[in-house]
Amino acid sequence: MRYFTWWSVVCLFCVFLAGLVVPLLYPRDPRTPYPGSKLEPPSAKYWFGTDVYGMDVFSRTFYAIRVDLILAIIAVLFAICIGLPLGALSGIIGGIFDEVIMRICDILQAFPPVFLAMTFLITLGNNLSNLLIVMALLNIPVYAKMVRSVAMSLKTAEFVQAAYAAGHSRLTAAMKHVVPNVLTPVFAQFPLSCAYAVQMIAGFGFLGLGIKPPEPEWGSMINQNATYIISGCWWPTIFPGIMIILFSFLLNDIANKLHKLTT
Amino acid sequence: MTPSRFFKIDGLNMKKPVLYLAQRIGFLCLLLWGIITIAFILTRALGTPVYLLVGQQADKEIIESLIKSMGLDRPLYEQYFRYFWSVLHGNLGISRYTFRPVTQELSQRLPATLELVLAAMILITIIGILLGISAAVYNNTLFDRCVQAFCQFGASVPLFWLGLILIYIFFYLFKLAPAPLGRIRPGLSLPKTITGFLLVDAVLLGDRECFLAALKQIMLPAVTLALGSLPATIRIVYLTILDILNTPYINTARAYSIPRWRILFVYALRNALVPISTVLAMTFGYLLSNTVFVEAVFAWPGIGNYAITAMYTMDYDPIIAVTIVATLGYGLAYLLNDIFALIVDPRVRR
Repeated sequence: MRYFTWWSVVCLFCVFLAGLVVPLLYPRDPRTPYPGSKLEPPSAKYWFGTDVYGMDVFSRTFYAIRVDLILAIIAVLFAICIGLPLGALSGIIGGIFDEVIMRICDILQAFPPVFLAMTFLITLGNNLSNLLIVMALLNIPVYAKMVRSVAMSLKTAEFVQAAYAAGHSRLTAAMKHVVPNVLTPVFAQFPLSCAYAVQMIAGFGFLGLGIKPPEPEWGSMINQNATYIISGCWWPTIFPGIMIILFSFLLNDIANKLHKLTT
Repeated sequence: MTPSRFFKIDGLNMKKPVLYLAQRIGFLCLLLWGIITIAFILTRALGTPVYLLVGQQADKEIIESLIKSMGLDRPLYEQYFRYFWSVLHGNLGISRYTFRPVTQELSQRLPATLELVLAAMILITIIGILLGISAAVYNNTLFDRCVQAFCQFGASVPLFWLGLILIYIFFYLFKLAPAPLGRIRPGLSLPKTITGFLLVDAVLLGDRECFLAALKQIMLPAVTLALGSLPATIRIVYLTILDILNTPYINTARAYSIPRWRILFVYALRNALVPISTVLAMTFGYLLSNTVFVEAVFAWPGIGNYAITAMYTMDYDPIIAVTIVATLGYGLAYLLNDIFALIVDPRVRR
């Protein structure tokens, strides 16, 4: 039976909307510290309490939706933009070119992601654009391999052969005739990659890579307040974590359903 | 991401075992070359290590003398071969923070990480395989759905957050676990190192107090690390066993009314051995990467924490060294898995 349940999409949309609207309605700024009220427990004034610098956890947690989710989506789109043509060309051209691209992908995938990020960000500079490059590098092999396997099977298809006969080059054949055929699996993979990217960005943030503290980001929020959980300050740690779980759960769920729908 | 597939090369199963192993070892060498090259490009070709060392505002003379002494005035290809040669000889550079050889510092910290990873590995092997197989056998029951729900939810939980929550529950609320302060509680002296694994050393020396203290310390980080990779492991074991249970030869065995336990443990499990060992190799790779988060949360003095402290001082040689070690560990686990497959599965040997 082929059907698609929309509840996780609706939920995701609602939470994302909350991320856009809540910072506008909630009175406290996510980046302003209130030095007089550090580590205050949740109350009517501070809904999720305040963190170690006296910044409002509620406002930061919701504001971070924009930062984390948008960053994750941009990173994955960036990876698709590179991985898609690379995989298509690799499958169509074959030979040495294919071999080299695939071995590079193998090497990239064999790298433990955390160490890849550390190596890149420490040597090239710990900033946002390098973080995006690292996230793309982690996702490119997935898409390149996926597209390549489809392109290989289309190599002998009649419409590709017809394109050659009409005088088109292999580049045109790859872009015009292979790419449209892989959009469905790529689309099904997209939410899964986003979920992975959200977790990775939060993980890197926790280690101090990528987004720097005054900017609200779930991983770095947890990192700042991690030591205080020993003395029982659970609120600045738990809420950002719940957000990460919520987003990756919803995205994973959507990916599962899309996968069932497309195969 | 399905890393379990990426060592598979099309049509390999038909070749002879020697060629098969040579191909895998060849890939391991390629991997090593890849890491060293990337490390070289990042540190020496794209950025000048001198500026990372002394900062942008240093004296011209200091910079020039440093460039000379580090061999940076040589052509790039010569630097590359020198770097390659020194890494292959186990010289991974010198820490800019402690001024000690990275190889030495790394080898002191490696046992702590391995102890943690192996402890988590034991937990995963027992729990993951047990749950995976039983969920497949009792497919479409309430138990199966519970396991599936756990997998789906567990895959979304970030590891560092899970560690902190476990600390909050078991240390702060119930006072069951010791403070998350490394391998042994402060004040208790470390035993003489024999293997480097605290638990093994304590048993060898017959030090009961130390063994119990170390066991208490490793409990929570190992459980955290295991829980992080458990969903993926259970899922793959479950799918493999489910696939095998639906094959004609199992149905034939059922038709012969062979007892259920015999079908499962004699007929099905033999075919499942190779996929399961592949899953475990993959899990080992995940653990080597994930251990960074757990070590950061529990102040575990392993290679992950070493990389993090190096990161704060912008010390890149230790980070590259840890990367090389972790990636090689990953590759070696896959190689072991390939050798195991060669021994167990006659189809690979043919």
